[in-house]
Amino acid sequence: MDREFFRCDTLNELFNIGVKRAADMLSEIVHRKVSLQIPKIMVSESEEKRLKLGEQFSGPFDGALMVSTISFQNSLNGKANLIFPADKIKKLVALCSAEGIFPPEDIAFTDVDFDVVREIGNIILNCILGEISNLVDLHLVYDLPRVVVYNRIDFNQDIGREKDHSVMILFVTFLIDNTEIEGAVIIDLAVESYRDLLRLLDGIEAGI
Amino acid sequence: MRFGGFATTMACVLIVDDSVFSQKVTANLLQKAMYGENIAISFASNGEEGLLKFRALKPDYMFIDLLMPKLSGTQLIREVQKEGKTKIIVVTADIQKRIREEMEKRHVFAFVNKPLNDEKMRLLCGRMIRNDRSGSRVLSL
Repeated sequence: MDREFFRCDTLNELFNIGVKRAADMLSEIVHRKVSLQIPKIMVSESEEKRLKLGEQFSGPFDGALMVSTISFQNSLNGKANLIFPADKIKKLVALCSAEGIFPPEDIAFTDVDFDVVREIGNIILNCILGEISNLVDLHLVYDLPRVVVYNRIDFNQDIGREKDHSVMILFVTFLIDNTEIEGAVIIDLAVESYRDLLRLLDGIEAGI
Repeated sequence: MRFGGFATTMACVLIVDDSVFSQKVTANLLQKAMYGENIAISFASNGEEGLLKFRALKPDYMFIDLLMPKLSGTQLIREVQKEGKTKIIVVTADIQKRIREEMEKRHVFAFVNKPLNDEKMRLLCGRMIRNDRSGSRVLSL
């Protein structure tokens, strides 16, 4: 099997398992069925690819965004981000808190909103990173998760300038009842860590 | 010993988690699963506060998140195990096998991956009520 194909296929599979597990967990939190649409993973290695990736962020990601981030070290160095359009956050929090009341979307974010998104981000990102870690037998040490609201993110600029990093992006749409919540997971790995990860995936292919 | 036949004696539980959302989820599920039982629940929002409340309350059980500010869950567990016989239930989003194995080596009472749900809490409470360690095996959920 072509090595590039195998790497891509394995990363796709790992992310799919992680996101599926994350959706199951989200379903347990909101006590509702959570459906999922996951397109393929996109990876940036060259500058040209990085710029193309930035262009993928349009539509729901054009406005204000809430970003939940976990940094990790040890076997791999990098950070994982879960991005939700800010206008969907109130709905997500209402679903999680079982109140089921959707407040007007222009109300400012509260500490409760931040707390819920931090915790959900923590659970979802841990699912994805944990699956990778378990498959290739790594040990990741996490920093405290944090949540930041951005009025707008210029993804072209942000992804494009990360020259010493490889960025993996996954667009995920959660469908909770009739509420569609588009999100994106961005895993930003130091180049050396990305190479280490690929070496470990190659080891799986070689049966090591 | 409180619990293990309970209803007449008050069992003390301390929930240590930096997320108020998770504190509430844990407490609600615990109250539901322990309905009719005599149970007092206290909260702490970081490891340091958890240690202070542990020393003040000497709880029977502690639910401890691993990733917390000021004093991590792992450090808190170390201190609690040094100082008392409180049974520890680790509740974490971390699904790494190594973390689970590390906690099993520490002989915690149970290791639970977030999110907690009715089924996990029911199994956990069943064991708490029976005060059952099933030998040295850690309950893993």
